[in-house]
Amino acid sequence: MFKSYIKIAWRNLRNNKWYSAINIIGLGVGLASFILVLLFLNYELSYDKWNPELEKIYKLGLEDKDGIAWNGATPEPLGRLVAGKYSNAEAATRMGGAGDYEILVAANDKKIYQKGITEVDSLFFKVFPYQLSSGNINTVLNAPNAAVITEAVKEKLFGHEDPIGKTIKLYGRLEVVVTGVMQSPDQPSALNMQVLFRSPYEKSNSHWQNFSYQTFIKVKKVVPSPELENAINNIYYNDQQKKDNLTYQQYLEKESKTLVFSEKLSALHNFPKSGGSNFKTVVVLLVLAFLLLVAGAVNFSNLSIAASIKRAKEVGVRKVLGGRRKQLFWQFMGESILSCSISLCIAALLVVALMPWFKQEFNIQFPLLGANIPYLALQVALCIVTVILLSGLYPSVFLSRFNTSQILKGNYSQGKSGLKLRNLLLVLQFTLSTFFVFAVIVISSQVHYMQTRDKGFSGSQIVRIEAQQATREEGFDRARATLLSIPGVELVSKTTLVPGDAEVDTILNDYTFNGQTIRMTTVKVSADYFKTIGTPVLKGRNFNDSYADQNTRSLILNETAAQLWGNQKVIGSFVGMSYCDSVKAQVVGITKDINVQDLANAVRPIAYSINNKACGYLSGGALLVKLSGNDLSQTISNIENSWKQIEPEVPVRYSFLDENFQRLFKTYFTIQKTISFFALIAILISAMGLFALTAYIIKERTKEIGIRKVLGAEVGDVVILIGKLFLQLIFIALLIAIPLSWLAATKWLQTFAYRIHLSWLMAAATILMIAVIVLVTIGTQAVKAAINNPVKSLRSE
Amino acid sequence: MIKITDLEKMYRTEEVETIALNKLSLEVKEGEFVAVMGPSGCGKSTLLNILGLLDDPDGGSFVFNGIEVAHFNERKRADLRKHNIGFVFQSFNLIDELTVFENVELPLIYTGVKSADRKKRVEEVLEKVQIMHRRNHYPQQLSGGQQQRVAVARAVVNKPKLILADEPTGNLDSSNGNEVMEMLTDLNEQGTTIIMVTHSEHDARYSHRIIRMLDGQTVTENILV
Repeated sequence: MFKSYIKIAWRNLRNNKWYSAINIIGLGVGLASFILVLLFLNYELSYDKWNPELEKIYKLGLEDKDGIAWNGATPEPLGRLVAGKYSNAEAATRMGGAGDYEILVAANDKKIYQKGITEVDSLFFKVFPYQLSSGNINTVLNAPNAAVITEAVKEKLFGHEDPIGKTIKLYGRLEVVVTGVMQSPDQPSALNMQVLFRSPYEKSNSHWQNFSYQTFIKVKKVVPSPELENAINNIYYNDQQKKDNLTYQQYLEKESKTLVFSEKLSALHNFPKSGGSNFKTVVVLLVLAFLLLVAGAVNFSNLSIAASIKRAKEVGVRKVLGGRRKQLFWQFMGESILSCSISLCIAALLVVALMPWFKQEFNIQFPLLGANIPYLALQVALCIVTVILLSGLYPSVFLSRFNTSQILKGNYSQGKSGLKLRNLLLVLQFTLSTFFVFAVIVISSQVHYMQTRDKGFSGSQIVRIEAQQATREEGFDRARATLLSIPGVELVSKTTLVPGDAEVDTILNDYTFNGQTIRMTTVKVSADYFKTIGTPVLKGRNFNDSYADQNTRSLILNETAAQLWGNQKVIGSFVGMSYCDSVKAQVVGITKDINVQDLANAVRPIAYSINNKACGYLSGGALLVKLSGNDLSQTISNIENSWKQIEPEVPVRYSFLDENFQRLFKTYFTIQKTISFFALIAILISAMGLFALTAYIIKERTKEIGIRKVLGAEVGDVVILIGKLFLQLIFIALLIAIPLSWLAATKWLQTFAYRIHLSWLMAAATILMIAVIVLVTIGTQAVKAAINNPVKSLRSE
Repeated sequence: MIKITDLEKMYRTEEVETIALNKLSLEVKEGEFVAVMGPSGCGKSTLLNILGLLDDPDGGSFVFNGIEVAHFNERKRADLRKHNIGFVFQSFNLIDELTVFENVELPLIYTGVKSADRKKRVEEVLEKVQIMHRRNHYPQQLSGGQQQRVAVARAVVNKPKLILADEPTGNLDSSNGNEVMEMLTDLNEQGTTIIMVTHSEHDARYSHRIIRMLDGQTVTENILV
């Protein structure tokens, strides 16, 4: 019996080769997209799940009435305080990391740039459950100059040699001794730990005013966050915040207060309280991919119902010969199962083929398939069962319910009762397609806008050179002179905020003016900075070599900052700087705003100044070199050579400002590509569905068309007859999809500080595109049916 | 074998109620060959559908092989049907996606006959209707006469006690038609009861008894043998 079902199913597929193929491939591609996004979601959710102990780890932060303070960092001693006084605390540690900044690490004559350099205290391994492959976990960080490196870093620095006891040099100046080698977890973590080291300045850094550390605690027993936070705050208040003899409860009622908050380490990647995550993007992608999958499954359903007229006879005959409803039901389900299985195979192949590209686009470091195969298998099984039910259930019930005696009389009109559902499904598909087309238009426009908008500077022929702190500060003039002596180097400058850098300092400092406090980002530059990047000074003057300018007595504001001053006569006025009451600086100019980051972020108010001669110290950033002339590669290679005089210890590292800035758009390019791909599939699936439906409807109405033609209908009349059936449905789909996608696009655009305005033209373009697809799909067949010789169709009926 | 008494069947649409069978009574003995005749719309096909357990009556009694089946549900009817009744249709009703062999095999599959047995029995019956040489062809590749021979083979492969034939020669030319009638006569002679609906006086003459219907009732019976 089973064999007979498979046989029929297979022959049905074979007889409708083209429909079946496109259908199955369409569903396969839909499945593949869904599985890939599913893998991505699993991957994101697998962050910091590599050890059950991680569930007990919390990151602490401070919060005041302005929100999260210090970018989530805490005072250095906070962890020790909590570990000492909170009974549920097992251990606490604090760390200061360079994060994704690449730091120079040297061992003997090997020099590498490495991410994940982290300063830790001796208690690190009491909190974090990393495994050591050499060294004793209880004592490995005891020495004040101890360092633990990962297997990967060991490989890079020492190869097969034993690194224990060897000295490595960090930042080109800090010498530490390797005491252990640690294994990296085989699953992703929000914390990138490659080199752990203890700082020789540990003691002097340990005070409550030092807000440079991230604090993690490990609890004995997991308790609800409010309970944990309340206990910690009670301790923190009584130890540090207590003033005016307020009780803790009274303090809580005050409006201005500083409180500790906690975040689970396992939630840090996807649901961070400060900063963003791409979890939302992944979920949105998953929903879209699921809708695609539904659209693909719906095609099966739709085509089966459409084909029911043809299958009705088979159902009738089988029933006459003793087939029961249940058997017939399973026969038709069998066909769905067969088709879906083939789709699944295609999807599996596609997933394997697309995986490397996908991993690269979404910057995924670990194997996607590695972690939890049974769990994944369950998810995929669930998904394929859903697809099978969606595609097979209704047609199976519908077909197996046919009334035998009616059918055998030649009355196939029961097929019409499936019409309503079929129409609904078609509307669904075209709603989805319209949504995607509109999305592609909006996303592409926004990306184009971001790329072409005046970003306030010109990045062309500007080389960004990584430099050590010594080179940027006291060594700058010498480095500048050396570089300027190279033919083709036009200008050399430095800045602590490099346009196009992925990670930028976003801390705001207080500036006072007329008793008013205004928060601005402080940026240190050199005199030629604005000239180098081609940013015009709009009012006042540029920096020069005057004593005031060179000794942090002059400020240049950007437009946004100038606006914050309320358009008063800013230029010439004296301003109090942060960490500094006595010395004031004079505003000498206003420059055009520069988009340092991509356009999702608004330009911050910035106060530019030169040198750290007064008030707060600020360093960082890079040197910028403006090149001219045609032989760029020669100039660059000259720079590489000269760099050996400037920083003999360090190999030169440079990049182009233009390219860096482009790289900021990578996420948007990826989204653009993904949505365009989805749109293509959606259109393919719905056009295919429409094509097949039209074909069936025409087949069903061949005789009617023949009779109409005999009675005098023209080709146009027939085309209208067929087209009318679908155009209403497409119209309904557009009516649903356009407002919905308009709403979604508005929401998406709101995430950008600088954005395009939606225009009716975009909706019109979407409608036009869908209309063309529909007309071509229906039109070709309708015309073909209409020009057929009616004699033929009437005779064959 | 069949005894129906006061059988009633009505068709309703939203506006009209049509009486298809109006208190019809009829008895068919085992081994009989009965032809049912009458103008279009007189209820012949309805009668045949009820006799074939494809449809249930609205009233009256239908005793098949001594069992009252008038109120059987679909499942019971299907069970009884697949073991006892074979059908031959005017339009053959072969399944296009199955070969000749597979079409004939189908009833055996539904009655749960084992694969080896099936092969033997299908080949036997294909041999009998002389279509063995086309066993791997699809219905579309056969002539009308050949298709009807396959349909007859399919109807008899389960060795049913009763064959119901609905205008079995209606779509055939006279020589192919005669061939099919000969086959039915042969089957009848071997003991199968046959009830055949027909418009053709010529075909009706192959039967033992002709029942003429009008407006859902029997009007006359001619006994030929």
